[in-house]
Amino acid sequence: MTLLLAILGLVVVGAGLVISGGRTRLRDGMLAALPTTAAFVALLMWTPNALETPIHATMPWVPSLDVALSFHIDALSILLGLVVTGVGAAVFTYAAAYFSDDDNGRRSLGMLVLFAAAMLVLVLTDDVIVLFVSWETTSVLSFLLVGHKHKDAAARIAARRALLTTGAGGVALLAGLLMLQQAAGSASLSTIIAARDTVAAHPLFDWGIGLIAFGALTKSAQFPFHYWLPGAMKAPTPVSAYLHSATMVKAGIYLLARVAPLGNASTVWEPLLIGAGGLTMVVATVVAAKDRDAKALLAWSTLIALGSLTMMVGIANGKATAAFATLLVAHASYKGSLFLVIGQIDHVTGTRDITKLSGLRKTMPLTFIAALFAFVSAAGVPLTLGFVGKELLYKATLVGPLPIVVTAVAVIGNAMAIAVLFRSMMLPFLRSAGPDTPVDASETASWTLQPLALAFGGIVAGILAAPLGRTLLAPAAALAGRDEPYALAAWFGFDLALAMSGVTLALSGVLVAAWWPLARAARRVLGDSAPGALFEQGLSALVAGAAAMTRRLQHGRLRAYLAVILAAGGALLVSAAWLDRGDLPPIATAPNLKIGLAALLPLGAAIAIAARRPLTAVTSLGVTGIAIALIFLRYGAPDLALTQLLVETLLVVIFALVLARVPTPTLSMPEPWFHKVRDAGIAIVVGGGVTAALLATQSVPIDMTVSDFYGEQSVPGGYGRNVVNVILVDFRALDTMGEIVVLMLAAVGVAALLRTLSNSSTGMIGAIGKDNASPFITANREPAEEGIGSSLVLRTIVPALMPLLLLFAIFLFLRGHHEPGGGFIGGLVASAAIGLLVFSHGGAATQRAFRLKPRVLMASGIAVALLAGLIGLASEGSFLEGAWFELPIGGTKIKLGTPLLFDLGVFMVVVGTMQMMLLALIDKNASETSDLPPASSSLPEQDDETSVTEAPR
Amino acid sequence: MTFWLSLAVGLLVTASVYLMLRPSAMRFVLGLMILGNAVNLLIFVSGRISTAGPPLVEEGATALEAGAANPLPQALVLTAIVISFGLVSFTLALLAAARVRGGVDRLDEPITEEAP
Repeated sequence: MTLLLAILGLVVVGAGLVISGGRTRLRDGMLAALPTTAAFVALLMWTPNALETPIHATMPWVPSLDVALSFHIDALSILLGLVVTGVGAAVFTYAAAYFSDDDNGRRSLGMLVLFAAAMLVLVLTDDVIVLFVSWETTSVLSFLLVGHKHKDAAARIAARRALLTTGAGGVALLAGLLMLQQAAGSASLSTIIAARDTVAAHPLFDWGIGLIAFGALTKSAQFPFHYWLPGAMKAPTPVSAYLHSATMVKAGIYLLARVAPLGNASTVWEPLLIGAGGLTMVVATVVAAKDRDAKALLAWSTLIALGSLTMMVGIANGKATAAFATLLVAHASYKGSLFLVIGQIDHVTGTRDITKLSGLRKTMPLTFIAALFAFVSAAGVPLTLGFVGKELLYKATLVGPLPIVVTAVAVIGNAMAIAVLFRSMMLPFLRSAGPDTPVDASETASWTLQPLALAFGGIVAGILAAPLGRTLLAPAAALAGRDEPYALAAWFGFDLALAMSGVTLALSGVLVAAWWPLARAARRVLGDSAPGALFEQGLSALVAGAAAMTRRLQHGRLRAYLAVILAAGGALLVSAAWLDRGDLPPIATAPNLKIGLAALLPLGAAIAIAARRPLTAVTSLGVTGIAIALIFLRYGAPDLALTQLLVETLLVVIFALVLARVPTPTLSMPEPWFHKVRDAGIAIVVGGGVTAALLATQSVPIDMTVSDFYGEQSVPGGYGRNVVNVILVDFRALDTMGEIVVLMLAAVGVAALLRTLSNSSTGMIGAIGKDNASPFITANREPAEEGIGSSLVLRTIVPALMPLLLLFAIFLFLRGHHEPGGGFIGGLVASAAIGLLVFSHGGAATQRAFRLKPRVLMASGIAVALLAGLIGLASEGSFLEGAWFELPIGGTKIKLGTPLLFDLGVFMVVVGTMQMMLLALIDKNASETSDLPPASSSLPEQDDETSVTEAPR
Repeated sequence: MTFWLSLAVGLLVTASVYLMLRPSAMRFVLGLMILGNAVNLLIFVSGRISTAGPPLVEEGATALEAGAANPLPQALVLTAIVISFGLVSFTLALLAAARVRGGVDRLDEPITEEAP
């Protein structure tokens, strides 16, 4: 509980610091160190308990996905937790001083604190998803912290490189964890590890463990992912000390150790880890000499240390795991300390160039002591924790069938690490002051004590190695290995490992003496290539490739897009129909009327393809449409037949009006013959796919549950005998609601498009009349008031027909609930009447005849439908649920209900839509143009009639 | 009959796809019209066709008699007819606007961001 509160405290403090921003003060560091220290103490107090039996605590987080905030606290997690919090307390107080002159200081300090929280969760959690989330959190925070100097391009590149590398690893980790979760049937890491035999037998096991290892190796910057770590040194030094030395890079090692019991069941695990760790050491050893930057040199030595840790997890014998646990703590203490030292040197002298730094012993004595303590531990001088770790490491490499080269790599790598540290961290103090030495370099206690404390801790731990090993290190090591861990001691006596330590020291002396020739050789051989150059090249190639692919695929030719989409869809249909194929339905072969009707469909379409004039094509499509209406009628769908007929009629009207407005569109355009063949091929595939899919559908039994429900409930529940209408206005009224809104939007779109056309190109429209080949327009081009085809017969008969048609529309609307009809059909009949009036008398007259503006009609239609829904919500408890009441008229009672009201809304919207479209189309001067809100909505609204007379002719 | 109707639907789709892939904007609209009809018929036929009568409950009866046409696809298609009408109208208006304002009639010119 204390621990959770401490983590929560870290999050609160961190977030507070990030938000407040500005420069840091010393108390910010104290504030940050408070929860950190609390967590440290809590972990320390639990140590004796947790070693007996691990502490397990679970809180549900996303129970539906089986994700829980569960914690599993055993020796290994306590070990890591102590490192995270211990180094954290030192780094936070140090960072408060470091960032005191940085305007973004608080932000970065806050992110460091958040990082500590994420890191604690990472090492303590038992849930694989929580583990992944905290893992990625550390990657993202690392990105933000490396990019602290976000105005520096190099820092940005380094941050991106670190993020992409560890991010890719994170994805692999997630995949791997999920595979293991599948294999074990549990998201709990401890359960997965306990079920080792089951998991290892699962077919996904090798993939899962391999992907986890991949993720861990990227995080710990192991070969071949080592390149991001030296670049990450662009980060502020407290960040480098904390993330890139003491903790985050250890997260990978921690995970490797955590899943080691599983990994050891795989044959590739041991060679993989030993190989990756060893190669990391080799690469770092070879490349390190190139650098002059003390901090970069620290990064290379860190890589050597991480490589040896990875190797130890891979070797996994009792000595290796003991060495792993010991070195992990020792390295965190001495390397953290050295980073803090170099940060201070950099801050006071302004340089990290090892050729310039000298004589600092005199001006920074306390810092020197800290560096010295840290160095002797790193060098493996007896009585330090580093010595204990190194002895164990050499012992581990000498066991069993390991090739001698492993031992050689360990010795040479360690010698190089010592030489690097001596060059970068000792000589600046030891050398007598040279000409480049800054004179005013001095130290302050506020950031000298922390490296001192960290380094001193390494010495104390070394002296107390035996009890420390018994209580913490050995139990932690036991979790990661196959054998009982080797007992730790401050001194192991004179043996081969000690001799190797001596050899290492001697070799490092040689390396230090031969440093500059080595550095020249390294530079000559390796050239100027920076680490990660290959990665950056790959990245820019990827970006260029993506750009090229985008240019190829997103070329902007709409027809080609359409062709690709249709061809892919058709292929999908054909294959799906093939996979689900069944028996063909019976094929009626006797020639009959129905087959003739079916034949009319493709016939009309074929004429449309061959047609040279648009109106011919449209008319032939009308034939198809009417044939479809007849098919609907024949197969028991009178509502559909009516709707189809009306829509076909109105569509022809609209087509005719459009053709009257614009220069006749060209139908056949010159194009290469193979385009036609190719498109015909695509068309046949899609069409064949549709037929095949339809036939396949017929071969499986249909599920009539929903239809039967509607059929049974229509009368008792919806008080309507026309099931189709009841579905539309009651059962599925919400869908219908959406549809009438879409319809209204289409009308508004049409009106808006045609209005801009009228405003912008009056001249062109005037010219159109002459070259327009449309038969509708050749007859006359009278003023709008006269209508389009102003035949006398039409003009005389329409006013008489009008009331009848409208009455019929209302009749159809009202009977709709019980007989074929309803809002849609009634609305369409009324619209057809309006269309007729538009043709005979023109737009303005139509507008005058119907006092209601279309947009008002549509809006009130939606409002009525909404009202019907709201009444249902108020009285029945559900939006659009039908509410019924009886209205006594004379002797009979009439049932009235909100579905009727809703249908009225549908009716109004349909009429308004059609009216708006027709009026927008009729002429450039149609009064509808003043009826549209956009663009000119700030102007006072014009009366319809004035707009007609005022508009330009 | 289902077989012939399925074939007819497929042929309609074939015609519509071919038309939609032509460079002429007008032909694209024609293709769209056919496609709307074809899909409506597709939904209708996939809900099974029968000649037993429309989905109207007899006066006095409480439930639809067995064998009546399937009301569900009809409800779907009814609104679909109206919606595809809206779509075709809108596309037509778009075509008209493009034709009159920019003289554009072909569909295979690549889209350029700078176009006014």
